[in-house]
Amino acid sequence: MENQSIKNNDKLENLLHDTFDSKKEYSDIDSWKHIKQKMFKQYFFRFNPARFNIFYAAAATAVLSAGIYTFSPEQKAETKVQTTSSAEKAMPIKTEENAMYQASQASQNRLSDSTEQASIVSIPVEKDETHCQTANKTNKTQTASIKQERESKGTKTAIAPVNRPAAAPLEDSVSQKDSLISNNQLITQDSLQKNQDSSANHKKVKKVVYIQKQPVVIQDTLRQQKKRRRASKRKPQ
Amino acid sequence: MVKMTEERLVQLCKKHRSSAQKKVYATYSPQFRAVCKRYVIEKYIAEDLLQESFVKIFFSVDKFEWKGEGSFESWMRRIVINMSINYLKKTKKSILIEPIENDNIIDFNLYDDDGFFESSLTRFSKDDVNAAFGEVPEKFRVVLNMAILDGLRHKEIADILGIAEETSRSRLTRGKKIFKDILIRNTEKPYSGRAIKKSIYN
Repeated sequence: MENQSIKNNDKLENLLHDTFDSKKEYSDIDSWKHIKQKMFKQYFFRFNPARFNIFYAAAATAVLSAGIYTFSPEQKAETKVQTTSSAEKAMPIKTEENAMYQASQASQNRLSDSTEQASIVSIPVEKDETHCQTANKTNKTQTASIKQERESKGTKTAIAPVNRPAAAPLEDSVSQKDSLISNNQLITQDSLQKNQDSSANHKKVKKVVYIQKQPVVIQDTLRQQKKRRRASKRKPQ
Repeated sequence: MVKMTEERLVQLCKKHRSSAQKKVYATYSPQFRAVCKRYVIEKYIAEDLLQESFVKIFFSVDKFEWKGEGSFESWMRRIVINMSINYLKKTKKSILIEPIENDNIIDFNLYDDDGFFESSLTRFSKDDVNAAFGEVPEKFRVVLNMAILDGLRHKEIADILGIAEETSRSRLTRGKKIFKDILIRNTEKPYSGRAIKKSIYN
């Protein structure tokens, strides 16, 4: 009986071998395409000097982005401004301050008919402290140079440099705003609001704007104001 | 012709030639697909396993050392089997590792009459055998596959499946009986006069 069961077991094994050893199954699906896709992925994520892979792709994108950054028009403009105003170093101001400063400068320009314009350059926010320090150092040299220019033109002016704190906090900027308004009476509420709006836009972009720090000519403006008042008084007569 | 060029195919595969890889796939995929389906009954999972196996074969062909005719085929077969077993271990670990005491088989020894089985052998077609083998519960089918069809020893099976060697042996014995039972049950004609007892698997 045992021998028979062993024989049967052998026969069972033979039956299984006969059925499965030579068995071949064909698929309707074209699996080779899938295998090729899977292999391409595998090849792509492995480094092989002879094949294009993720490492080459990363290097190519890095080179491309660096090229775009260096040859972009913004970058070119920045380098130009920096080269032209190298003598007068720019001072980075946070956007809210900057708006007020721009407003004051615009009013001064209107008053003094000066053709000097502020140069606006975008830089990252983190750098402003160092730039402020450099700007304070160069403040005195700027005033001296402008004095010389004006003396050479023959105009007698008293130049009072505005000492602005380096990287002033936002709360301080409000008091500074008041002081600027007192210096320049022609700044209206509308212009301030406009400037605030523009500063809000600047905040969204997260950019700090360079403005050439220029001395404020107080006496000239006061004289011109007096002249205008006298002129306005004379007209109705 | 294929066997003549097996060594050459290996050399070209080591150079990652796509044409050679395609040739290898076209030559060996039908038999390896059958191997996958022996372990994993689900058609699409077996197909996916086969694809993964070929990807692995082409990536690890550099490690293969030529040892004569047929060595490449047996090396690839081993990879396919390992992939199938790994899949089963991942997805159905609880079933495979389940101790033998928990096998829910009340009566698997239905046909003690070995003479009947012997006499019936001639009338079993390959389709009958294939169908019956597919019905064998997974944990027994895996051991049957590994021990009978792939020629692994019980120690190897025990190591791979993470079970005791004794469990592997007993599963093989039981698996054979279950397979025989299902085979006879499926092919037995209703008017043969033999009473078919019910057995409960799983």
